[in-house]
Amino acid sequence: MRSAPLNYLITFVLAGLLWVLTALILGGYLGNTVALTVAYVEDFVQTYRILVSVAAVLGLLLAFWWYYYGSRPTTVGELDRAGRFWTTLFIVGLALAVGVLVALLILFREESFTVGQYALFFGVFSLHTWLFFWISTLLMSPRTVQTIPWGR
Amino acid sequence: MNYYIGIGGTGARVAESLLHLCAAGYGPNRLKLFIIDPDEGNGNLSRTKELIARYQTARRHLQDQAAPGFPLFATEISTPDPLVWSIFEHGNTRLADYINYANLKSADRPLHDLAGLLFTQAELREQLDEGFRGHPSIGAVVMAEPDEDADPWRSFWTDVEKAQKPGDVRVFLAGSIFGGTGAAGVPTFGAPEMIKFHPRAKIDDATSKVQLGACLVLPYFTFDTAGATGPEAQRLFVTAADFPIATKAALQFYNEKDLAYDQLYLVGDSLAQSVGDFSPGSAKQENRPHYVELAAALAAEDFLLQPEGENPSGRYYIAGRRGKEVGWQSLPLTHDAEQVTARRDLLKRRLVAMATFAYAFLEFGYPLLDTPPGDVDYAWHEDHFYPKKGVFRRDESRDPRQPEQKAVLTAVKEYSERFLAWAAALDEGADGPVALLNRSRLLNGGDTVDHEQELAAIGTFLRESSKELDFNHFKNLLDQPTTLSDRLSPAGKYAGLFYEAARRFAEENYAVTPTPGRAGATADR
Repeated sequence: MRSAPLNYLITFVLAGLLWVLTALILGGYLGNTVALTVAYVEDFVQTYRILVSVAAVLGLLLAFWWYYYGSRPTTVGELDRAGRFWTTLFIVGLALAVGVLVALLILFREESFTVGQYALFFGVFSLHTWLFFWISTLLMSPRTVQTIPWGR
Repeated sequence: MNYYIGIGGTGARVAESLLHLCAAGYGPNRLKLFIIDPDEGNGNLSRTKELIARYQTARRHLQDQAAPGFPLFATEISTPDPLVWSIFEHGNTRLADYINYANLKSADRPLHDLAGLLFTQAELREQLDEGFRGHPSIGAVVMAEPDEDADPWRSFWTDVEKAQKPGDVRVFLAGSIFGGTGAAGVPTFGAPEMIKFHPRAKIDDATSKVQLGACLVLPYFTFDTAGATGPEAQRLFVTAADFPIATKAALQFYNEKDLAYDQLYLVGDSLAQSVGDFSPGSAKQENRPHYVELAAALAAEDFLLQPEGENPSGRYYIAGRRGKEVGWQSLPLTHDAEQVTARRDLLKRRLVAMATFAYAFLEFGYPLLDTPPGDVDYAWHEDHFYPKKGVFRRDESRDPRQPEQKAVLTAVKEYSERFLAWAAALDEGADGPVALLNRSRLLNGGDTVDHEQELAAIGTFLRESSKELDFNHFKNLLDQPTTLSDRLSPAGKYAGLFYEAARRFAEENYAVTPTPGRAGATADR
């Protein structure tokens, strides 16, 4: 599970499943439940799905970047640096989640969402970015860097 | 049963090479070893004694639980107590005291006069606790009556008596032909009644339980006598200038005498490389290791590794350089022409793997033990030495930092230091005649070359072409799946993991791969 290409494939499948869950199923649910004053529900759902897709692709790229970095033959000689690199990618993931949420709020700035909906949006974007990166690297990092992700 | 008996300083130095070969996995399954030397304070001897102790400590913990065939410290080396037969019961013995020269005058005047004829007054008065000072005639007298009721001879003869079949006990002696102790001991113990046809060894007049071999080391080095000043310069000692004459006389003696050696190996070199400053004996006599000692140790291995039932008798073998350079291709490995290639490949593979192991362990493995286990990020370390126990806990019983485990690894570290120093000392630089290992890629002064500064050092220490793989590759090999037993102690597994990675590294980088052949059935365990 930690060696290429298996870790890449499993991560891709996992990202796809999450996307189906959050973009299609949860997106459909939001279309039925969200109350908008200005925008059309269809536009909101479409924008939401695009942003979820962007978050998913970027989260996937973060994980892939880590896999590539961790499998380089020279990485074993610079594990301290690898630790800093993982932390940087994790923070980038967190910033992506916040950034995508901000983008959604700006695009629908005339709408007012409930606290629960704000939390749900942030949770979904987090699931695709920093949470996805953390879980997938915790489980599928190349052997050389398997001890680096937090929680080992 | 295999015995190695090192005679004098050269015998002790050959023992050092033999130990390193055994540590690398190029040796018999079992070997008993002792040294004959009246100069117990001799620096060469002290070095060998210390090395044996470290070998035994390291082996006790690494091999006891290891899988069969694990090469590191594979040979079970045992030694009697004391390890050294120092010949004299008391210190400051003189030949005159030993033969009761003063009393002979009144008790047996003709014998007194004969002794006066055979020995000079200087020889009779010389104190012998620092060896025979290049005068084998003195040594021959005092070595002819070993005390069989005291160790090491008691153990030796007990083992011989236990043997049943002809040639069951293989005994190999090594010493120099040109010095004092060795030159006296090798012919003395070659006399039929001394070992081969001793009453406790012989089965009948023509058959013995002992298969007797020896290596006579011919002159191969020189030393600087400028250090011999003051009263020391006035005393009896041998100089390098005396070597050729002593050798010629000794060879003539060997040719004429009916000695009982089944196989005799003659090894020498005419390069006359300097091995350090002169010292007549004592702690100061500690010379740099030399490749001829390795060749002599290989002669011992050739004798001891011969398959049972294939022990020719009445043979002698000669080894010397053909060209100016001594490389892997020119090391004398075996008298059996069909086995040369397989043995050479095996020796190179084992020594290169051992050198890789020693370097990596000293540079990386042992220092890593100073880092708390929770701070080590290497996956192999976590898997084997700091594994998870439940969700939040760690199994600290596998930690090699525990005092008793660390003590074993300290013994391995100390042995590795000695191995690397020995291997590096064989090299004399790019212009030197010995082209085996490159000292400058292994040691920088007395320390190992920093692997972080010189990443490629580990992949370029052989004086042959290589793939020049670096230390990161070695670290990656530590992460490879291992076949090491889970029954191994943490220290055993730690050293074993490093050895496995070293072996793989050597095979990949230096292309030292197994060659099919009979060597595989004997030494390639």
